[in-house]
Amino acid sequence: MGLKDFFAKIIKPSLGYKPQKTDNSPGKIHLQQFKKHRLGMIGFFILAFFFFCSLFADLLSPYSMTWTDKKKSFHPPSEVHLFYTDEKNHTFLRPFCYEMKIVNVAYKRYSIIPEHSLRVVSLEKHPKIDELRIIAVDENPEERKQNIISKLVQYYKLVASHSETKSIQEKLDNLVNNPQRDIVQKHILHFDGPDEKELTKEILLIKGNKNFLGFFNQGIPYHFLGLFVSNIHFFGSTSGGYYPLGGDQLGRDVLSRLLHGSRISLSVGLIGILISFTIGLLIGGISGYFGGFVDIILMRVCEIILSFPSLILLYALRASFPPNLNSIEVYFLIIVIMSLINWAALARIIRGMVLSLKNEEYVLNARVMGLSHFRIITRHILRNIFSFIIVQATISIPGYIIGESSLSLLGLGINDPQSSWGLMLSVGRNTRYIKDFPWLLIPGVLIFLTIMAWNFLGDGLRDTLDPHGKKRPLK
Amino acid sequence: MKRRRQNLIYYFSFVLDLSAFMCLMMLKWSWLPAILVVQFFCWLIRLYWLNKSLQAFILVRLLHMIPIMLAVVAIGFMLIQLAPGDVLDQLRLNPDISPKTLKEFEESFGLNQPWFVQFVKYITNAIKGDFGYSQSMKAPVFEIVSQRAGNTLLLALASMVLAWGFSIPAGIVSATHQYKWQDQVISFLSFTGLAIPNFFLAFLLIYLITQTGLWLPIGGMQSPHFSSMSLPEKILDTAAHLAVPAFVLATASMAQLTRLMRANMIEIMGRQYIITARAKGLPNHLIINKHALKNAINPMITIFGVQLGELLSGAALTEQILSWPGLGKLVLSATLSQDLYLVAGSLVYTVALIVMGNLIADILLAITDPRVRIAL
Repeated sequence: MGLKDFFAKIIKPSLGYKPQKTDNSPGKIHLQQFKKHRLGMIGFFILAFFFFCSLFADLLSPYSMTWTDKKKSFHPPSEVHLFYTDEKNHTFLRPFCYEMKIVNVAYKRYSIIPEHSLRVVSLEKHPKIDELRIIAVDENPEERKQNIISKLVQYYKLVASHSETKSIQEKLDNLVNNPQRDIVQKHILHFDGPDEKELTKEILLIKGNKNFLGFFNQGIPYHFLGLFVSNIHFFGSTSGGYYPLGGDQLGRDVLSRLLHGSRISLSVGLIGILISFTIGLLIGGISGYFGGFVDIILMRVCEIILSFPSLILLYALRASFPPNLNSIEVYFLIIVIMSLINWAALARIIRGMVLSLKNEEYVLNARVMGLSHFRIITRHILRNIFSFIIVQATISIPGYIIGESSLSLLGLGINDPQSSWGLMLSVGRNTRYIKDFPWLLIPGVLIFLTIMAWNFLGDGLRDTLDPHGKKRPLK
Repeated sequence: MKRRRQNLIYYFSFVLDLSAFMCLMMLKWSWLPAILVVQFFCWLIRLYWLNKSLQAFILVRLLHMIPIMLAVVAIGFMLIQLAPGDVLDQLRLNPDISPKTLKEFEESFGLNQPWFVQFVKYITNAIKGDFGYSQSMKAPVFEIVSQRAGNTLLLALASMVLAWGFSIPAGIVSATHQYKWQDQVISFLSFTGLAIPNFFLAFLLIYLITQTGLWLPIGGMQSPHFSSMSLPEKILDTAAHLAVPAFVLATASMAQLTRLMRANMIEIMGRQYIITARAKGLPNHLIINKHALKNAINPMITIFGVQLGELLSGAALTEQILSWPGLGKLVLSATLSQDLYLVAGSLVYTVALIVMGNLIADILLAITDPRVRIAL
């Protein structure tokens, strides 16, 4: 008796382990086979990661989808520095990125602001209200202070002799006189709102040119999955200026928009196949099962739809609806139009398979038993080609993703301020932007990866669920 | 002997068809209707020389086209009806159009009558080649569409040539070197080509071209000084403009065809007649090129028709992004300006092109593979 057997037969039972039963259910076997399919697993994990990110988009994004800093259009991706060296030459782990300021407005070139600068910053939740982001870079410390105070007074219409202004001035004095190089200080600002009501706002007084980054910072508030309000963000800076994947033309954060846009771009395919497969299965099933006149009519309809070039039909159908719909309406409109185009190809394939199955003995038995036609189609015939249907569904999802993103790209789909990957890419229609700001092509990379992952997953599923799929009749 | 003479006449008919086309061009016909008319009559003449089963096949396919085209026109009409507002509203706002033309337009399409009368009028007008008047382009729809269709066809044909020219050798190489590095590279490329969306590839190419300083025009079809060029220069210029859009459009079908060719070739290489050829001592290149290749290409002819549809559909987006003045760009600008007669007209036109493509593919298949004719 070897050591392994000894453990398995004597030690484990004595500790209360029971030998596992070998489970040979088809599901288990398919799962085992799928786990061996390397590309399929890669596709699965990529998609799982993407879906996870899109579910927790609010938490994972550094800002919100609509957060805008108008002065920072086409901000380049921030370089994250992990180790911070303070004025006493101690180096320790404290990630930060430099605050950048636009130096060439025509070509949107940025450079790091000088080390001695002073800033007043707060993140604004509403995209319509301008961000508070005052930077003073003057050589003289007194000028810097005066600069900030005067701009702040303009910004919130403060009274120069007001106690509020004085307290800020004191704090700025402290900051400048402090020997420390980089300081971030909070201040609660009281000011009069548009209707003479007193409002408060938390602003940050910052010395130095660094934005410190951290996990689970407080930032712009959001509704987490519509359940509760939170303002915790997984990674980012409280003082803004951190663009992990760059900024877009309006000064919005690309990463935040990517994460929020993934909700639309990833879900379009799932909802789309749900609709088109319901139609395709029913019509294909009815057409194959009943045959005759019904079959001829339905198949002619399919042929007509198939003879249209799908993208052009998509545009044309979109044209017959009013152009100024809101984002949610457009989203569902796109899905419905795409499903109404795509069911035809599926219905033809299903019909062929049903034709080959309908004279099988178990179907005849079901008929003899007196089951209704609907029940036979749904429970006996379609159930039998279920694995094939799953594979087809997986393979046809990329079509929806491309359809949605190309419509949004051309300005017929999702509109601002909503975000989708195609919409984000539409900036690229200006050749100059592609040349100078290549990070705007990142949504394209994600679309590519998603489609690749669905293809891999589809291949994997086909090899495990439907290994003889290629030999089945396709017409 | 008789068979040979038949073949000779058959091939001669293509020369005849070309010369008839040239004659019509000299009579100042625009080239697209010229091609359509000439081809129609030439195929009628050719039908006499083909054998009976092929004749029947082609006739049946032609009959099949009629209901499909009718339905397509119906859908085009439905689009116009579905849209909010009256079609004439926008025309009325236009001061360039006199009330008299407006009245004529209203009468020719029966816009003041119930929808079924309008439908009949739309169909009868469509058969005559009158798809209405485009208010955004200020010209009859059919004229605009047939001008643009030439550009799209040029693009589609170029990418088709590119796709077939790449995928057949690539498919052969990856089938004959199965699981070696050549196969791995080609498989990787075709996976990438399948997954990469056209618009993203276009953007990537633009980025690469602008970064490397490679001289290749992006966007448009002709250089600004096109009209002052000599003929060879014009051809070169158009070819250079064609390169990027044709490549972008071709990738997807390239990938698909390569995978298909590889699968076909692998299947054929395992057949017994290949083993026989090997046993006979034929050199490898002869086995591949003479025995395997012909049989492997045959099933791909069916793809040809489907592919034309895919290319024309994909062209819509590529044209828009790379500003190639074709049908797709036309449909989109018509969509954006809610010019519904233009949308419907170009949709019908595109479908007509696709249906013709499918017909040609079917006929080619029937010519090369006699089994199809019997199956009908």
